[in-house]
Amino acid sequence: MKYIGLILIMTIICSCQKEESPITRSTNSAVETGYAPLTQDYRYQLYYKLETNTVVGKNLKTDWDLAFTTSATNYRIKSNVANGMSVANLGDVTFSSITDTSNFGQFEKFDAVTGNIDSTAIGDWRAAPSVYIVNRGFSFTGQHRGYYKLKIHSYTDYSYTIEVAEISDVSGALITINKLDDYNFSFFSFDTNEQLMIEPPKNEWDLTFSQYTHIFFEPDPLPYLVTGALLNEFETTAIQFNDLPFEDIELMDVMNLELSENNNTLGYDWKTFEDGNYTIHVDKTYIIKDQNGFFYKLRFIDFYDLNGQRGTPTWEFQKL
Amino acid sequence: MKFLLSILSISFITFSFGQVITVKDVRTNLPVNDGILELKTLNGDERIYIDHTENGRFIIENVDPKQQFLIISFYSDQYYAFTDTLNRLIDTVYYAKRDERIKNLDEFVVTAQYEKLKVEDAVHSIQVISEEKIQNMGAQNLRDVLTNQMNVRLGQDFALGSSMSLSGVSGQNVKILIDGIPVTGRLNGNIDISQINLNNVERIEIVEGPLSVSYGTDALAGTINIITKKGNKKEATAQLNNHYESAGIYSTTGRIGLGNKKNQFSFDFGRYYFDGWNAQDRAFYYNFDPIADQSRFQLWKPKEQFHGTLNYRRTFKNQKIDFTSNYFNEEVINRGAPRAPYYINAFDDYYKTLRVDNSITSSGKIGKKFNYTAFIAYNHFKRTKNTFFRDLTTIQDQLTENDGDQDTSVFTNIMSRGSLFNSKTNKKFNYEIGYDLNIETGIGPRILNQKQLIGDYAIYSTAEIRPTDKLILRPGLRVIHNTAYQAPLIPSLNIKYDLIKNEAKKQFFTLRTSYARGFRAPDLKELYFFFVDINHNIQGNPTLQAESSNNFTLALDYKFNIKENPISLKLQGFYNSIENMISLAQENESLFTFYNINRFRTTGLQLSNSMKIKELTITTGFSYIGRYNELIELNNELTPQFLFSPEGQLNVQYKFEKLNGSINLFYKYTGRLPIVRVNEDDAVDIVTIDAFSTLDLSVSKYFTNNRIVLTTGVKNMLNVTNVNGFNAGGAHSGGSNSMQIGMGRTYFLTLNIQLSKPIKK
Repeated sequence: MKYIGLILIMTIICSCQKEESPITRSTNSAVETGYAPLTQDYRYQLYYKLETNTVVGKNLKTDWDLAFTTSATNYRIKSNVANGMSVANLGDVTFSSITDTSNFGQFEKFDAVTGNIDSTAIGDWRAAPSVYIVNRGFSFTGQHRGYYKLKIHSYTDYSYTIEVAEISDVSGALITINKLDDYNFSFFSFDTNEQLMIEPPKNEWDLTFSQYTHIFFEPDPLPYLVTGALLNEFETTAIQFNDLPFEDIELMDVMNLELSENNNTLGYDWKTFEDGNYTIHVDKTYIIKDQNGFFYKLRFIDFYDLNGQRGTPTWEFQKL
Repeated sequence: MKFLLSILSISFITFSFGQVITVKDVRTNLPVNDGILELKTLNGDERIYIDHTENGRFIIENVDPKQQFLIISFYSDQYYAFTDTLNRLIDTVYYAKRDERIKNLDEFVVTAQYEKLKVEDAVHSIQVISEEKIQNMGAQNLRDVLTNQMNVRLGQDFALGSSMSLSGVSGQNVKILIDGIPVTGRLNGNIDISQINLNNVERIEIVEGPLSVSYGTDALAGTINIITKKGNKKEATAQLNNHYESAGIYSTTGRIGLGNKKNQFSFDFGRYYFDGWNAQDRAFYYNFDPIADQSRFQLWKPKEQFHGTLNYRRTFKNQKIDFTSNYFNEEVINRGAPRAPYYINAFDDYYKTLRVDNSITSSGKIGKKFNYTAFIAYNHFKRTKNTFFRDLTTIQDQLTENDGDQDTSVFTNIMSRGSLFNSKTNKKFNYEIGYDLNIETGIGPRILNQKQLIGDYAIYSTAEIRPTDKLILRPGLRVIHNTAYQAPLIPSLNIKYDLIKNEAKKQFFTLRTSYARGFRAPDLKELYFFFVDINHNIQGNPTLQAESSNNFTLALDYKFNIKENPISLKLQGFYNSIENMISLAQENESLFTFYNINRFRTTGLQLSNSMKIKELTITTGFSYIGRYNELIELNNELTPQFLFSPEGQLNVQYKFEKLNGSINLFYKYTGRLPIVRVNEDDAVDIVTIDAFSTLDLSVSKYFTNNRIVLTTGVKNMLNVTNVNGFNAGGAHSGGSNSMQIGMGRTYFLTLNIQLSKPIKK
């Protein structure tokens, strides 16, 4: 048929999806890579030491509710910002008179985002005896964990005495929390009404990776749960330093920098969620000075693990 | 070959056995195998249409021989139309000149009409896109052809595909039908119009304004009805069509048809492949060895579509029945950019769409008085998203487990619609009564309880009343019962008045005006969405009402001839008011849900003109459409109530008779579109989407006895890629500043081969 030639021409103009060829990866041996698997629902809190590049502690973020400072003269109490906790001070009322959350919203407060121990939600409770309603926040499945009430009776160089109860209960239990010197905080959980161990001793770690509550002001305060890195309370400082590319930073460049004590200096904004995925801002470099005085440079390179699952902050760093 | 509804039974008093008019091909002296004959009286108020039978004979039955039918016209796909005067009905032979290119039958429309009739006789304002225009534009799918359509703005999203808005109202309010059967599978309310291929399309009918009485939900802004070709009666045909565009589009479609008088069978198939496009791509560039580096990310995503349609038609004396099965499969690949800092991995999304649509359609006569048309259809739509994490050093994929990465949604529709018409051309009162049933099931992870069902049951009725020769009133009413929400009562009224109707001089001055109520039902997502996790709480609202609208149009049509050259002018204005528009809003601190809170209005004026001067055909249009400023309540003084945007069109065609070819120019100007929004300082702000123009030029030529058509040309000559504007961001991301319009200038080539062979008897 005379059309065969034409039909043949037509079928030649055709195409399909080609598979791509791989690229090669480049390596830099001086730089180490660390990662902290929080799993996709960010349920864990991980504690990490730069010197040894190891994760030295791990707990579920819902394992504890309150953290009590441990040094002899300290009296501050932090709430678990990883669960989105908040606390309301209802003032000098009797413990048994609080049975519901009707006044909660009016007095609700959050711990300071910077982790500054002077600005906790509970605040300076010593002067006036107060009953607090504690909003325990959410579990990693999104369920609300309930409301408790708390009264802090006293403290000494060695311990605290507190009274706790579920919000609907009339009377509470008296609990003693012991201050443990080697640790930043003594932890307490409403689930067991007992003190428990959470963080490793303060000398053994530098950074913690977990969720925490960030407060946006747009224009009203909006607390939002974010995932990121926080510094160890104890003598660990850091600063963001973008003047030089990561590869070129040397000790001399950072020795005289003024570093910040804010726990959230590394924070969460080294990544941004857009179009369904997190993109990492690899141009943000952080300089960390650990409790022994050593300087490290660090930048985040991923939030996904090797299988593409979310929830594993990955970074590269080098001791300077 | 056309198979038309033949409208015969005009109630004449005496019965006369068949008198025959025969039409023969002037060159071969063989009877024609195609066409309709129209007989009418001099003033045009009485007319009958007769379909051909075998041997090119037009048998005239049930006609009073005393009737003086003076004008006889012949219309056909394959032959030139002719008109002649006729003294009386006797056995007569006429001769027709064969010309496959003249598609006179495009002048006939069926959407929402009782029967097939000419565009100028329809009570609604209907525009027709002909097969010839589709071919000359090199259009492969509905999106391609709408780039030149007045009042249509197109949108492009890499995951959701191509969307459209019609006269300022979004595509979720545009009903798309194929042969009267609705296309299902809407994502975010829109149908991806690049999934609707045009390879076996005879013509596209577009009605602007609500046809909600006839077609129910989603027909609020307009209706697009795609009429497909049906099998051949006498010939075995095979057709192969190959299309290539320099941006990397390869489209092959084909058709096989067989048939005899009673049974017709056709099989259409096609494959469309697009290899993706980036701003830096050179025309005609083909990457033989793609590397997994930055170049893997493309602005326009590669996609591959396969589609096929099987149709069997059985014809009886007074009825016909069609069995149709459609298959469509598309995969869109979104290759992510390699991720910093080492660019050794990336996220890839694969979007798959599967459509399997089956239907049984029947139409014909019942007794002497009634005509009917009905269908029952089962549509299955499945949409899958898969996300993979690819290691670019090994090209290994891993299915990811993050929330929202893998998603499958299924929508099935069982639909049936039927109408009974009591209609005779010259009667003063014709009517239609019909039913419309639709059961839709949605299954997906974000639907409450993973599965929901909505049933929509309606009856409707319209009438055409002719108190005088020149006036037609068409009222309509639709009554609906819906299982999910309270459906409104839908009335409409169309009026057509012939100010001047001179058939002999071919001069027509027609006024059309209408009021119609339209509505859009809340869809499954708005009713039953369920997305609750630690940072999100978005739920559907089962108490939603339908969006409803009131639409007023007024149109003046003036058609006349200057020395045998037809000219038409049209002026049209509309006002559209939509109440209870459904939007996502914040209910309390944590919960977002859908409410009927918005109102929206559009208004506009359009002037269009078309003329044919010997070989030259020119079409022009200009429109000015205003969209309501939704934020006017916030800031009354500084922003206007309506934001206007102009559009223009110029299409020119020159036919070379001797060379058997034509040259075509398609130009559309889309003017600046102002949009109001609230900016960072909470002030109301007007941003604009810049104006742009689309210009296509093509040349087509017929060879070898009209069996081969070659079309080649340039699309988007002005090289438009994107325009500056504001693209609304989602809940997480901010707005980007440019909108994708096109892929720059592309060159195309289409080769169409038609083989047909009469079946030996």
